[in-house]
Amino acid sequence: MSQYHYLIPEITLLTLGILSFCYGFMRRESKTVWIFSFLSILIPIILSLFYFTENEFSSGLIKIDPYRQFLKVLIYLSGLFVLILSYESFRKSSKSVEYIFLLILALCGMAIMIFANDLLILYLSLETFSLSLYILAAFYRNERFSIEAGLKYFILGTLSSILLLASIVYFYALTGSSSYDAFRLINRGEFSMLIGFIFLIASFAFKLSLSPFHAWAPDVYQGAPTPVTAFLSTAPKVAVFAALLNIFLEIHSGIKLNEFITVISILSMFVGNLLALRQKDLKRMFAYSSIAHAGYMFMAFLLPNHALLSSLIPYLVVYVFMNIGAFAFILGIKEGEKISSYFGIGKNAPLFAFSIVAILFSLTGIPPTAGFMVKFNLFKNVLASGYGELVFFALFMSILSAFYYLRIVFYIYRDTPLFQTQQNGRLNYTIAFFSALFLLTLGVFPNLILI
Amino acid sequence: MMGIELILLFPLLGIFLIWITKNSKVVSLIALLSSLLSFLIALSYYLNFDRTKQDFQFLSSYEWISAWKLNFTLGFDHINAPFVLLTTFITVVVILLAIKTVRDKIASFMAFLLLLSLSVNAFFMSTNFLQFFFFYEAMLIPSVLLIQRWGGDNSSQAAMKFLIYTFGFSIFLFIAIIAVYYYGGGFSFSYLESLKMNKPTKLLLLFGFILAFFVKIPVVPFHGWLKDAYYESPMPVTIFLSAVLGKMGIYGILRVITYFNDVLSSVNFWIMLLCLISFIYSAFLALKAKDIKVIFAYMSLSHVGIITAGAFTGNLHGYQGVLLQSINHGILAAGLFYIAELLNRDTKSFDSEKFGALSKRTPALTFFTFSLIMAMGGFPGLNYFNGELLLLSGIFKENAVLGFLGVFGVALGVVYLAWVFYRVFLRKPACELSQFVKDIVSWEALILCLFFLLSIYLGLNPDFILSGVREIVSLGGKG
Repeated sequence: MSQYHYLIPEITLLTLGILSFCYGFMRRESKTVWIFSFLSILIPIILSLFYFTENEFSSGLIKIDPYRQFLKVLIYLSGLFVLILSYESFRKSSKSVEYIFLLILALCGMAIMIFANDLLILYLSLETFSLSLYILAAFYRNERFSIEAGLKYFILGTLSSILLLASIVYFYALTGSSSYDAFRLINRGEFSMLIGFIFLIASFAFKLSLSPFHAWAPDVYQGAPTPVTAFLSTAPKVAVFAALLNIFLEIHSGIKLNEFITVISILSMFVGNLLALRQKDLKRMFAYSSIAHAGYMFMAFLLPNHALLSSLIPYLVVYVFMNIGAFAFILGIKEGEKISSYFGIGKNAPLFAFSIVAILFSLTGIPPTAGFMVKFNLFKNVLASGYGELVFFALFMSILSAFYYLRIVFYIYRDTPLFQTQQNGRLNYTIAFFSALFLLTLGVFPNLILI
Repeated sequence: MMGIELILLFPLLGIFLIWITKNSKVVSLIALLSSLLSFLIALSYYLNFDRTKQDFQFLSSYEWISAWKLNFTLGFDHINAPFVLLTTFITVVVILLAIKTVRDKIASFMAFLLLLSLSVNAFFMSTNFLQFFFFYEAMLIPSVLLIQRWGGDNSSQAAMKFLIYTFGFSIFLFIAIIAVYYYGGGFSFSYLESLKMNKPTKLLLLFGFILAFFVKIPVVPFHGWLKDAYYESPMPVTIFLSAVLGKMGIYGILRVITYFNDVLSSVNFWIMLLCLISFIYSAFLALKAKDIKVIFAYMSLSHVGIITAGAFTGNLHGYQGVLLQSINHGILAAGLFYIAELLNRDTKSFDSEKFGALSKRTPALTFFTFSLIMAMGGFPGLNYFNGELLLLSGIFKENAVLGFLGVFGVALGVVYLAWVFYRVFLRKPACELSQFVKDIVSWEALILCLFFLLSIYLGLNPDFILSGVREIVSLGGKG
């Protein structure tokens, strides 16, 4: 019985989620449900901090160690923020109870995915959260784009599941076991093992929207409801990166996939940054920008174990807060996905403008924001492992990104007294401000994040 | 116990106070006071630091990134102290000017200006490469927003150009810094001494630094951002750009160049040639221009060319010349741009064709303009003369042909300045715009007087900046 206490936060999350769903389903009283479900994510976060253990626990199916717990808390936090962001958009919706339940179910699946120590658990948890996300993406049932987004995401997501199953089959055929521990037994030169890994990475690359598996991302990001887009661009990426991290740490970099990883990250950076330049719709632009960021982060998998952890995890933390902040300001003004809505915010709402500027500079990677520090950390480590040309290319691409991020900044500070900015909800506004503050604090005191 | 970080803390406090008070009168006062206090503290540290020692002094250190064993450390030494003094001084002048000229959004203008001055000072005072790079880029945010929000019609484009050039070429600095980290062992400047690399690699490292800094200075093939950024900015920002921001690149070169003396001799002829070509080419650009602000912008560009050339001579004279001339250039360029603003204030025009015969209407302005132009032309006894002498003698020691190029450029510099003075102040009695120009009043005369007195003081006492620099250069080997 004692081993269950490691999973108390997840069990609590699921129980409270179901309870609030039942309550909401019967009463349909929206305000209470929102508060109740807010608490049902907040309480697991507090419990996870309370039960945080330094020592490693491993059963056959799951494994718990400090960095996994940390990433799990990160996912819960992003879920919490997305819930707050959703309030303005969904509070009048008749389906808000179902929306929240799907969100909590997805969070639960992602947490299990991080803890997974077995390929089958990995597959099950991946499907748990993916199915919730398909429905969430198509949540505006009456809008053509939303339906299209959900369908596109579903079809390509299924393809990625099939690839994952294929790779599990390969590994099982080689080792006779589906546990991560069996990776150590594999003969390193084996060709079918290489195939297995390529299938695995390809399947994860779909979820991470790495190029050339990125085709779904722009349409889904644009079509899905904006809070869902915020969720799609943060939490699943953390979960999938964490799962990939677990597998890579287990095989101890004994496999030569470097060319494959290099090609994927170069393509992602190139496609993401280049196509983002021409986007009119901000949600679409952030889809390409998240492709580019995934490309930067994917470079970390070229590194040996310790450097991999110390460059990927800080980047993930900062990436989550940058994207939550970005979508918070998109939600914060009326028609925030149109760039022309940003005219003259600098005059009407200086504090809000300041938050937007801080978030965008952080996305570009200019100090004193956290975006610079984690990028510097990552690029330094990759350069030290001898990938000079790759880092040079990445730096060049991140300069290109200044064009499309800072275009928004220039709109903000252009004066048009005729134009009144339409603000949309105090909550979104606060979230944007807090993530900006967080990014600036981490940028000035990087000791808090660089390990 | 607070030490040298007070230079940074007063502007920070000023920004905070400006944020909470919105009243425009109070805001100007706060900005002026905080910049003045920061200047006075910088001055007191400058006068008190021990010129016989070579290391950084008044160190104040905070824990920053323990994973990389790196502290946030500020310090003064021979090279950076004059630059800090220049920055704090120019900030005071610029704020004085901005109180009178900036009309709208004065509170955020002052806040951004203080932020810019703060990050530039932190850049100059940093003692390790990461901090150096951090503030080298951090200063982009306030400067870009200052250019874009308060600039002219094409300010967005100018700001973007400035940003992309500086941010773009900073990747070379980034790679160079990481190379120092891995070949030398850490981020501190002193690790440049213990680089374990062969000569071609070291040369590549040097080129990394040079590419990044040449854009910031700028030197001619990299000067694409200059004209737009200088022309579109409001005048206080232009003064800050030309007097201080260009010096960031020169300071960066001064900081690293002594450690490269062993590889420098094979390439320095070509680098100096490039700098001198920049010197002469932009002098010709200034000759051709009709707009006073553009002429002064090209003048600034032209003079930093020969200053940069001095850094690559590899001998003591050149090195001292760079240090002295950077400060002189900062003071005089600020003074000349200030005069351009005085002409522009009532006429809203910089066109030199529309002015004429101002010497009768505005005798005091004529006097100060002429003295500053004389100083810039290298009149003995005024500050520019000493620096020019040191620079030219440094270049002549290295190569006589380059020396002649330098002398030719200096002569050209006198020509276009005299030409602009002639056109604006002496010829054509009845010009359309001249009748609107008023002579300077008390506080404007005070500022110009300050520039002029500084010019005389530094002309008679260059040791104020140079004493003790000898030991630092002899470190490198060739000196």
